[in-house]
Amino acid sequence: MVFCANPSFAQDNLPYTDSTTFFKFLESKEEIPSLKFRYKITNPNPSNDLLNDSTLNFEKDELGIYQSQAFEKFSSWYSAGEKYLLKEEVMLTPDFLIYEEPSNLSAARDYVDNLWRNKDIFINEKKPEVGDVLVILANMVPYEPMFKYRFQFFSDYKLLLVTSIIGFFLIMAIVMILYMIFIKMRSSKVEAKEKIYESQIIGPLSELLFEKTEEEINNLSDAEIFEFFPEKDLRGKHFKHVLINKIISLNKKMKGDFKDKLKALYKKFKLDEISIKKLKSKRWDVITTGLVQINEMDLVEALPQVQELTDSSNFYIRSHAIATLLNLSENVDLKTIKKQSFPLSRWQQMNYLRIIKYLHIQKTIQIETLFEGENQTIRLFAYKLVGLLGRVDLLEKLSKLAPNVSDIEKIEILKTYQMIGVHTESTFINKCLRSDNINLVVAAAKASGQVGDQASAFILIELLNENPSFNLKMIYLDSILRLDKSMYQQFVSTSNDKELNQINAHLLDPLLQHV
Amino acid sequence: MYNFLFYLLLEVLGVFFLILSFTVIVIYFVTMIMSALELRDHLRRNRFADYQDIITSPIAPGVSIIAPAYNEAQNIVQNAKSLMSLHYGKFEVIIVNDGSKDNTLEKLIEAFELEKTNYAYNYQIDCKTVRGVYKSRNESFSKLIIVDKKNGGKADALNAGINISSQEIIACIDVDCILSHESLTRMVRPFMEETNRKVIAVGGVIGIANNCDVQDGMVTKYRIPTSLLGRFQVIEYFRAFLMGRMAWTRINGLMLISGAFGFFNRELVLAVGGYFPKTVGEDMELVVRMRRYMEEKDIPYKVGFVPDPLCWTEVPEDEVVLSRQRNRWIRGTIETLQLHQKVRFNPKYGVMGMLSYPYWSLFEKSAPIIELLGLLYTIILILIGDFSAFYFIALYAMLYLLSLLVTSFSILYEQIAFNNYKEKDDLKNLIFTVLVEPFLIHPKIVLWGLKGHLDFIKGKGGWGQMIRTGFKKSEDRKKFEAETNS
Repeated sequence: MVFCANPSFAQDNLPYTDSTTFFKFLESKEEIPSLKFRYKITNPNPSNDLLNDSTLNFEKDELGIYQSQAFEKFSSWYSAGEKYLLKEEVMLTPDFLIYEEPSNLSAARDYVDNLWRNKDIFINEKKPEVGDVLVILANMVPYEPMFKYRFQFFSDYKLLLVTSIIGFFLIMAIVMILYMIFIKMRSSKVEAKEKIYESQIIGPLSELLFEKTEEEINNLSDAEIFEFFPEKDLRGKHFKHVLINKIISLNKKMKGDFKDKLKALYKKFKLDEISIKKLKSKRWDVITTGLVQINEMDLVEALPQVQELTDSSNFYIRSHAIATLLNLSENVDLKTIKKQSFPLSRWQQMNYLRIIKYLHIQKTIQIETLFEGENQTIRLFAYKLVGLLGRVDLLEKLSKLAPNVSDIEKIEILKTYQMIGVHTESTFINKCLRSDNINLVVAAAKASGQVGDQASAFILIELLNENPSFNLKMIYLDSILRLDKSMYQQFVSTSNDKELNQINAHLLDPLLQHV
Repeated sequence: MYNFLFYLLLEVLGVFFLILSFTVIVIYFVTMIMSALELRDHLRRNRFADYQDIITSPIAPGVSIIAPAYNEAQNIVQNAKSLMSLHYGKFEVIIVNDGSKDNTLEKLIEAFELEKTNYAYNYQIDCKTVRGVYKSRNESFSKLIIVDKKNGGKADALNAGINISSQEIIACIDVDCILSHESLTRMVRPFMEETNRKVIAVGGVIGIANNCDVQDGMVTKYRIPTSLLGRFQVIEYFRAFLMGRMAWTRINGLMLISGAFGFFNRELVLAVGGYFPKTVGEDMELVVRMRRYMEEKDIPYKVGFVPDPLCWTEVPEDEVVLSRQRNRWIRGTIETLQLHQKVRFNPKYGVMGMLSYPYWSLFEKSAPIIELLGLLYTIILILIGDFSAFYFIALYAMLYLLSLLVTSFSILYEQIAFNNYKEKDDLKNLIFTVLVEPFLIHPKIVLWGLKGHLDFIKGKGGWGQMIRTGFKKSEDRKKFEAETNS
């Protein structure tokens, strides 16, 4: 392999300028690919010595001109013709073959020029100087950008990825364990702090409750309050939180005057502001906490804000908002529930029932409003309320509604009749017994046992003769037994149905009266 | 040619394990986030629940507690008393004596002044012959019903109890479980809260009672077990209940409710034909079948989960017993998944079909096999000299740290949410268990899982043989399909 070590020999410039330097270049190269050297005799009468020179080996071409044999090496060609070139009479001229095609000097120069420019030929260096060796060696290394101080670790992306994940997990695991310990310590600390606060609160709070009247509490100045609770503590968020919880928990347990005093204290300590402020929070649990506190401490001034939350999409917010409204509003008219677009869950029904039951003792509640509720769950709740509160006065309205409502609502109305013991609705019950909806038939059969009539018993026997399932037989027979014992006995005694006998034994077993 | 195939297989396995490892990582991270969100929401919701109301409210649903008992003479009376003393208004306790060979029934008769009744027993769900139904003359025990039947296994006994139950919700429990007084009120709540969906079942957390102080059927002092196996199960239960099931609940994808403490809608259990007695995984199978029923009927539904510590049980601290339990669990999982193959990647079954089922197939059922394959793969790589110790250690370290992270997370959940283990030493011991578990316990769990697979293939227990030879010919399968499609 040949390299250009001298920068002055850049391949853009030719290494020769005239024929002399061209021949010198050819000499230095010795061989040029696909270029051969020969001689041409221009003398019309060449000497015999020349023609008989076995090295040059002249031959006549088609044009009658003597041409020597072709040489690949410059030195061989030159040495073969050197002695004749010096003699003027010989008239020997250099000639060339490019790709075996006869060419003159000019064509040969063009050819070599091309090879040089295309970097197909280089000048042979005799022996590089010491400093030049390094340059040559450097040129042997293919080009690539130099990354100074590059760390091999970062070049292996797989290694980097795995190590990063391990590092991440390791850090996370350590953080987790530390966090766990931190949480444990913090919760113990908070618990301890709460205990301290509770002990600090309970004494002064009892003193205020037992020694001051409600009026005196209302007239307490800030300075007097700070005598009971240090100002620094009372301004602390955590202290206030414990104080709120303590007052609310006492409020749940106490009655009469003490309740009023606790409410007065709640306001005196400006804890009501904290509760009302919670309604503006973005977190549903904070809003609900505010609602619970407003409800417990009878903060009626917050009712307009509470009203706005009754149709919230959050189940807990709207449940507690309605519960608060029911509890605190002076005109308990259940309209808020009636307008509810969301279905009532059993959980909500349970909560509302508790409040309505409590309010029902004090005043009459317009339950019938809910008969026209916007969704079915509200109407079902209303029918349930009639039975649970024993509102016999609403039976007439219910009776008018019953034939026109859906089967699900009819089932609930039947349960209400059964619960209250409405003996005037047997026609409706008997009609339901004839229904195609088996769930309605079952509800009617159960109700008929308590509030049916003779006709119900006959229908039940008809149903039994249709050979229903075991469960239905049990329900029908049970109701007949309750309605008319003699009819029951007559039916059972004439039946050969094994299942009926089994059920009969069950129904008459005193141990199974409620099973 | 064979040489080429061998190396191709190695390459494919390599890629498979790499993808699997990263999938595991992603799944665990998602699980951690989802369970954290669900637990946070649960704790927030709990703050506003007045459980006292449920006890007396006429609107609250009734509960039938069904507890199968087999050779439980030693503790049955105490257990029955404990169940009867739960704080709830409308409930009954049905103890099913599943053909005990000891004097379980006699002890109950004597303790509760029981008499055989003329109960008209209706075999709505098939079960072994019921020999008698007992009730007490003493009003104090009016909630108690004892069913005496021929031995048929736990699922069969539960079916016998379901037939006799009369309340809207059935609570299927292990008779030796210790239930918190609040267990019924808290477990019933999800059934009452939903407005737009039907709650078909609610699962609860099972706590480990080993080494705890128990007084009058109540855990009074919580301590972690003394043995490593016991402690391992504590953290395993944290992981399963507080992380796994909470995360699945978040997306309504829960497919398993523990057989020791699960609440179900009775009407629906009857509609799907009750427990399937021929599988050892009857608890999971029932939930999957109920979910299938709801999906096929296109009824919106939910499977709930309550993470509060309400039920406590003793876990095996002996390797032989624990291995049997794990063997049974893996067989139960395989059987259930085989039985409900129709669900797999079937968009008709929603989250269950597209997420829960594939997850259970890959990460629960096949986990021991995949781990074994991984081990074999590593050995082959060592033998052919294509083994990179660095990458092996790195990958192992990665998974070890992931396990550490996940478990620490679940312990953290417990500490934040419930903080039952208050002793400092308990936390220290748990952290130590977390560190050594992957080396000392996990290989055994994998081994027991593999044995479960092997036993399933051999057809050990229940109906293993039947599953492998094809469900279509099985009468049980026909019956099952008829019930679910009706």
